[in-house]
Amino acid sequence: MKQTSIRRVNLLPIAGGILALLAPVVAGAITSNTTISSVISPVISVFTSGPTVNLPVTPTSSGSQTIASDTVTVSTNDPGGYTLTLADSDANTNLVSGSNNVAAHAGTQAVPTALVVDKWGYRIDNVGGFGAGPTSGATNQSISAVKFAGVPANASPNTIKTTATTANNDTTTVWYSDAADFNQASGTYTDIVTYTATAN
Amino acid sequence: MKRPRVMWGLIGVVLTLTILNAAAVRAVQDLALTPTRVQLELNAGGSTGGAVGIINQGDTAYDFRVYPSPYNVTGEDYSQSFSLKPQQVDVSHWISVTTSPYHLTPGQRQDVPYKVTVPQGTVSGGYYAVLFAETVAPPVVPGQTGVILKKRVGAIFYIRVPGAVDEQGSIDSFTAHFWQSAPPLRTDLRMANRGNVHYAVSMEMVVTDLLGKKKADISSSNIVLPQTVRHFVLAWTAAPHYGIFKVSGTVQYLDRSEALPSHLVLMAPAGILVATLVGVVVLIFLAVILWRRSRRRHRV
Repeated sequence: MKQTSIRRVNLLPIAGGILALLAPVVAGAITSNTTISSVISPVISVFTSGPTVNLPVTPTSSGSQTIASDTVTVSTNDPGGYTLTLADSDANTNLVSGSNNVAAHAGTQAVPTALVVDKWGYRIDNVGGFGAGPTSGATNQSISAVKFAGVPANASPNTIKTTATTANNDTTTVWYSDAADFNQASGTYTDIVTYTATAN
Repeated sequence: MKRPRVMWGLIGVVLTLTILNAAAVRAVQDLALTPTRVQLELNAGGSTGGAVGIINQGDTAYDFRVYPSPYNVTGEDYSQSFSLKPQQVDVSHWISVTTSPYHLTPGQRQDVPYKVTVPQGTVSGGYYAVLFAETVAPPVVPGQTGVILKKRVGAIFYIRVPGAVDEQGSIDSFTAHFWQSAPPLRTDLRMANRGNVHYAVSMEMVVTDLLGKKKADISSSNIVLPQTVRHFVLAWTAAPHYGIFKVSGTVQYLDRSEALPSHLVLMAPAGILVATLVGVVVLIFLAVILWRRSRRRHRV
């Protein structure tokens, strides 16, 4: 049988030679670090589902009630979260049409009561004493037992939501209602409500 | 042959409705403010300037105004008030801004400069105010009875007038109910400030199992105003419904770091807890019965 001889080649000297040739390049390699930094600004934002909440009422002798909602959406990346308050924009809490007024309901956020005729108010499910609801919109219905509170004057805002961490499109639905009978003069009655969002 | 046409028609309708719906959702006045808080240190008689950024993140243009207001809190949950309390210094007068309305189109940002000037002779300590950006109310729509809505967002100003300030902070309490029936696993921390200037507090709550393996690490930071106790809730929202955990942590404030007392917390729904207790009682009862029977057999 013919024997095949295997010639072993010692690669060590070859590798050493290659390394020796590359040594200046390897030794001369330099590194440089770059620090990447990003500043994320703290922001708080708020928007509502509309600029107004329309509460048209066609009165009846026993009183007619309309209920409509507005959704307030708050976002913030402040790690302390946010507080959302609701208040009238000034000290006059009436819906006003010229010299005629629809007064604010006497119920409060802590102790709300059923809306009475010729009054207006708000409620938020699961806030204060309002109960779980769920509340639904209505137009010109008989006055219901659903509880409402009067919108507070600007000096005494009501806290309607507070969170303890960042929030992304966090919503709060506020229901407004107006009730009228024939004692309420006809007209276009309006008032301004201010939502305030601040970081905690 | 008609089926592909019907299919493409349906796809087109769905796409159109999706686009229209997306457009309708964002047709609102989105008022955004940055930063959310401003911390300053100014000597009496000193002043500084800065700017807040107002951004229209919606797709409807609006007008807005910027103005300062007093700021104070009541209660340990920091219920906010923007009216002056009796004998409170009106710090809103220290902040000057242009109160004329600005107009913002969608996507636009307006930087509104302000200047803060501390009156001469102001006593050292902490002083607070808020700078609001507020939308201008839209005009009344003829014949439309109802509520007109304004939005406003505020940046809280924390102003420290240095000098002989009185810095006093302490941990008032750190509590956790032993049995909690559902997530989150909640702890309550109360920090007291009995000085005359605010301080920043950093809180860290660590949750471990009984073998010491870390399960959660919750951090938060905030500011405690003078002459108040502030309540913080540190919660592990991803806590399981069942388990026994040890809660501990640290609080850093006024150049010190303090360990929070540790607590054991049992997470268990009420039904499972009752069933477990009943099961344990039944097992003990059966064990006693079996033990007594075996004793009688031995005597015989």
